[in-house]
Amino acid sequence: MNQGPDGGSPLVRLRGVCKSWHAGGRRIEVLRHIDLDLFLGTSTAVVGPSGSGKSTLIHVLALLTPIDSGEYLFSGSSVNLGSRWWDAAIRQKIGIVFQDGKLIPNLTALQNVCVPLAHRGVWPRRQKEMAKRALDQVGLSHRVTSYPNQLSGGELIRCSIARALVTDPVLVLADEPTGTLDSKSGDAITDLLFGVVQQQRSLVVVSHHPPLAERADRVVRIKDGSLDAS
Amino acid sequence: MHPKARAAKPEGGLAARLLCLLIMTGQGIWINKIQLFLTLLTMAVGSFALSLTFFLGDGARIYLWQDMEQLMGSWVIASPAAHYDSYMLKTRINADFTPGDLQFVKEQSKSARLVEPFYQGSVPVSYRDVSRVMAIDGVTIDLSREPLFVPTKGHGFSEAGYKILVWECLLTESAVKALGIEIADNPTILIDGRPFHVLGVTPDPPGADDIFRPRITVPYSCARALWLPPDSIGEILVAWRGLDTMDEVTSELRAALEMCRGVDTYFLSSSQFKIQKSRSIVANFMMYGQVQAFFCIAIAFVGVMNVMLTNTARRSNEFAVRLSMGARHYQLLAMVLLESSLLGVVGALIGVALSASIAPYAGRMLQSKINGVSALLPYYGLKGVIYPVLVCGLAGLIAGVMPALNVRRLDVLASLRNNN
Repeated sequence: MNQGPDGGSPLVRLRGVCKSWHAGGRRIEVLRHIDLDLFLGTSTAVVGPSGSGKSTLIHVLALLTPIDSGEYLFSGSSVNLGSRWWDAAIRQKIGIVFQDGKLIPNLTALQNVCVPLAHRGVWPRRQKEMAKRALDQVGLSHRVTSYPNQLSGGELIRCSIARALVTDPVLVLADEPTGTLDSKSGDAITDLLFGVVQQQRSLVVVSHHPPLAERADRVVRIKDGSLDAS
Repeated sequence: MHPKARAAKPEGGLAARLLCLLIMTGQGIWINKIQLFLTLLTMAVGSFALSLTFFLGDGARIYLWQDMEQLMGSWVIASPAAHYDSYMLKTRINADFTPGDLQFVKEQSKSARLVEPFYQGSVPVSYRDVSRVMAIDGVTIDLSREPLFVPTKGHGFSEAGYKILVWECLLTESAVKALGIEIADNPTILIDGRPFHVLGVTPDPPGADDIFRPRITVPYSCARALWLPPDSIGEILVAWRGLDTMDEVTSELRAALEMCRGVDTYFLSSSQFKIQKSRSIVANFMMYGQVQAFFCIAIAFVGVMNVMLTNTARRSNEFAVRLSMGARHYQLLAMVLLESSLLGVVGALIGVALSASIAPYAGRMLQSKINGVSALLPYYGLKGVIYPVLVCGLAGLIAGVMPALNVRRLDVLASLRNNN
């Protein structure tokens, strides 16, 4: 069994994971026999050409889609994809940063960051305190009352990062967070993303942005749904 | 398992979860204000019709009955048939009620509050140069305490007026106007050619028409001496204790009269018929109103379902984001159901508020449609609030079931790709 930097067992273990889509009567294999270990305190960059299965891998890791076959262990426990309750319980330990932020348009930045806390049943006053702290951490303390359509692309991603981190997740998944940004903004987001991933947290980032991949502890290349770890 | 990786327990317990659910629901409702307004409006129309039915229906029940009681008295009057049938008067030996009949009825009427002789008729009345025919009542001392015969101006008959012949009378407000009398002048009027002192003014019988509003009340002893044959007592008036004893008292009276006089020798007149008629008017009004209200609520139900289906489809991206942020399916289900129920409840409350403010005016409009009613005032009971809120809330809840099930079946990835 692989061991992490501190000699611990992996937070996430994928073994022989396969995932396929059905489109127009055809079955398209997107992930083929993926084996991957993610450890706490490490960052992993997933790189690869378009359509290679990077985003699907993130979605599988985030439990947003069930796997066809293989094994997904989260913190040593098999993830039962048949149980929505268990999926949601695991998902509450995962933070996701989407490419375009995916903020809820009718909520302010502060309310958006409060969303994961609200679903965990945190008292509203405490939600606001935690959300303000998270927004402050990503440099958006001056934009708490702004709506998504009033934020720039970089600010949207920052807000999305704040939302992902506000619950103090053990696994942070970022799906091309710099994909829609210019290089300057992309670098700032990269600094932010790697700056906030500290001990006891694992970061997986999918990116085309070379500086972002270079900052990761490990780069995993994916091609035609298969992994090539380096 | 990593200690940190264990599934987190809710931080604030059930109360915090419910509060969060309410806040999230409120945020969802508030997205499209025009749509929200229109949905609330459709629900409010249904609730308006339903609560108006209750406010006015209950008001009509209470005030119509009060009116009828005041108009007719809470009593039933038995009149001998001879009063109405001249042939019977000529051919029957004992065409009038006798003191023996009265005594028998008194003994048989166990549920009655009052059994008294009574006189009703019409007589020529004149004061100075004004002359006309007016309705006249001859009342005993006990009957004179009934609200219809208690003076609002001046004073009632003296005790002596009931025992010996003292020619005193009371006039209704309309009679005073018709004769052009000033009570303060201590006037004397001529009734059937005999002078009577006017002591006071009694209220007009509510709802009575122009012919019956001007009335004169005299002591029964005077009426008996002047207008009744010897050994005749005129009519028998039996008063009930309350509306619930009305039927019982009437049955007892009918049975007693049949025993002492045989069949078809008397007539009964009472507020019973009018009350039954008013009951049927109110029941019809309420049924009509409720049917209308349920049609409106059915339309509102379809409206809420339509809005919720559109809304949830439009917000599929939001729901997918929430799920990816750790929301559980039941939370989204509860959000949608609560949202649709709230639309129902808030719409219902708006409708109730509207109907409460419009009910007095609607009452005035309806009053003109029901004869003999002095006022049709709304009665603001809890029924007019609770029923519409329950019905509309339930309609909202049911309207939210299908949209909620759609959210439960949401394809997260497809919805995340949808950027709307």
